[in-house]
Amino acid sequence: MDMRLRVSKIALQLSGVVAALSLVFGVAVAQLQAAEPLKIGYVGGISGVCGSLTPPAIKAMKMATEEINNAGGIMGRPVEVIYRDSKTKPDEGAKQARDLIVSDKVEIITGVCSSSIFMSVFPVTKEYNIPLFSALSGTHKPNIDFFYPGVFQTQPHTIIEGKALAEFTKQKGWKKIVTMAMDYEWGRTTIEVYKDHLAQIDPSAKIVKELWPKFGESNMTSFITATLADQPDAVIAVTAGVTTNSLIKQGKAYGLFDRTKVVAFLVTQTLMDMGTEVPDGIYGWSRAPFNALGTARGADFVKRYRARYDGEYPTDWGVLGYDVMYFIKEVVTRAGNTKSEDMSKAAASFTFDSVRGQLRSRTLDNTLDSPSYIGITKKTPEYPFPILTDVTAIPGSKLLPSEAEVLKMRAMANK
Amino acid sequence: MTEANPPSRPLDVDSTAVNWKLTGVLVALTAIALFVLDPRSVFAITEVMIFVLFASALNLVLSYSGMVSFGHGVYFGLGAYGIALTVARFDWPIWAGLMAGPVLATIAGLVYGFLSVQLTFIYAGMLTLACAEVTFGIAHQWFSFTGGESGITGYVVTRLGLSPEMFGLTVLIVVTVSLLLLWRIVHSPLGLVIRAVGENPMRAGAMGHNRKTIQLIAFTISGFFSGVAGTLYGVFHGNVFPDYVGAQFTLDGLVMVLLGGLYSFSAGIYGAVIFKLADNIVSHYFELWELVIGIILMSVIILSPAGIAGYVNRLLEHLRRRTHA
Repeated sequence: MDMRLRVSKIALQLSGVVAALSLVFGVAVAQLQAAEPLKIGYVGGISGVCGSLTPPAIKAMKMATEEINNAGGIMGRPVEVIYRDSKTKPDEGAKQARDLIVSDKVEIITGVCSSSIFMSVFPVTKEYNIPLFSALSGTHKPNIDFFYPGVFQTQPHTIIEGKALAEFTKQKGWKKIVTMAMDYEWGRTTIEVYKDHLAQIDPSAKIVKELWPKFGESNMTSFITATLADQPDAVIAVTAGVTTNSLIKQGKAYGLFDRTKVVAFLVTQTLMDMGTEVPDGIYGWSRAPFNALGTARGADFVKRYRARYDGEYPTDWGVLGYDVMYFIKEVVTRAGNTKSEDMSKAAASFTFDSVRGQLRSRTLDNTLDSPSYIGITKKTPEYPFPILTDVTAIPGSKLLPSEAEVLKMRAMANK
Repeated sequence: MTEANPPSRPLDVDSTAVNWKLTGVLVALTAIALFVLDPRSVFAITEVMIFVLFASALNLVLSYSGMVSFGHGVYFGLGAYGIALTVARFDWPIWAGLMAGPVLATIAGLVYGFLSVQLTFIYAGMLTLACAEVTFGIAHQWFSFTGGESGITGYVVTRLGLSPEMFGLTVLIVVTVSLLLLWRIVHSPLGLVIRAVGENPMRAGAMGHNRKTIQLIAFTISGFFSGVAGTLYGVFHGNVFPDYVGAQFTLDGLVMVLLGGLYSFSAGIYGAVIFKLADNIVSHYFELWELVIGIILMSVIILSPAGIAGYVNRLLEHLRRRTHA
């Protein structure tokens, strides 16, 4: 009996030790798992055509990452962003995305400048069912045409921008329009959407001429003279980079801005680069002008960004880069994991308090109802470069395609 | 029209020698590597193999036929567009699309080659550049058909749904068979005529060989194998973009052949391996990776004008002499 009692006691003690050890081990493992970083891959053109646009986005993303980590990370996991250069080449973008997924084991991918890189990266993330948050490219195709639950858009895409320009045209009462767009995906799609939407909301407005300067065109004189020959009420310009710069410089010489109204894509980076060359009074459309965000969160972001980066002002890409990091944080936290389907549902379950205002996503296409901004250029003593003033923010909720439109476009694309 | 003499050839390069035992071992090691290395390496090896074929196809034109091509990316890209367009736009089955890629590249090689061989040397080269610009313009601007800048995406399941290892093995088989065929062509009577025309078109002409016809045949064959490489690349990524027919791919191919060493069958192999490895590895650690590639290229051209193949051949010859001494 004594023997049995002794054995029972030893067994009980051993059980206690095992239980204690298990508890300690379990806690340690849990802590280890909790401390495992949440890896996010960034794919974007750090060199190549996008090279001048993405550095501010990366700066803002780094700032957001630090803030998120200082506040405890995402679900207790520190965030680690791995930056990869797509060299603004589609095949390189796809390669880098695949490498981030299979080798670096990232759970989420973001970026992606430009549209063609987005188009090349998204089949890779779709293949591995990894969430992809596009913050820096214009095309709507991955979300509308080739959708899978893991593809998100946080910037205004081509449908939002095309419709915003049409709404602005109607608001101004312009009836005789010349369009001037770079001959590639962004330009073509934006003008296509613009024309369709304008025809619906103001049938009396007519497109009298469509001009298609090639991608990266620097000699705009023939397009300017062709425009002036028609004496339009307004020119809708879907150009960027050197093409916009040339349009402004050469347009001034031909009196373009005195003889008609011009609505050009004037993001902060362009205004910074062009400086005093930009005449006052041009209409500029933009994705996120730092001075016209109109939110307390936006003003706070600009202040902290400037404090951190030697007084530098954040560009549109900077604002979008900052927003996407916090959107990812919110969505992952609400989903409780990084599975595409759960994140899609989570994204649509709340209102995102972005630096651009209160935005909402929807499971239909995982697209935030990002606003599109249109203002007038003006040089002010407050800033060392022209800014957009009297800015109108056209809400994305007014511009996003309806469910029926999305399903129709999706069906046509998958035919 | 006066025939332009091709550039002088280094005398110390055996342009046809192949060590079959070593080749067999390398192929076997590559196959094993695909199944034992990490996924990053498997993808890198697969990409390198595709570019080995592209560079070797370009090498047929540059090293043997005496022509210069400044637009060979076209045939590579059309290989990818061939499958993408036929499957996405015409609902062809995948197997037919796989055939269409090389066929489209071959047809383009025949048409553009026909135009190019009407001229010689740099003038012919400039015509290949013009043809490439035309093709790029179509790919870039025919928005409704080619997708323009956004290209064509999702026409085929990436890697045809194969695992990275199995797709890598498939590429290894296709590339090995293609290289063997290229080697056979170079060593066939036709290959000897191509080399004769490439070395001295006037003398070959005096012997009764029509330079234009022979160069056109070489150019078309090169277009076909470039198209095979492009088709593999299109399936590898599951998408196609105008860049694939653009100047950058042509330039990459030219750099690979120069690095590998003109007038050697192995030029494409050595060049593609070095170039793509540098591209894959250096760009991860060094932002100015193109600078590194440029320095490597300059160093190779200055130190060994016959490229890496020339250096390897000299090294092997040196070892052989020491062994026999």
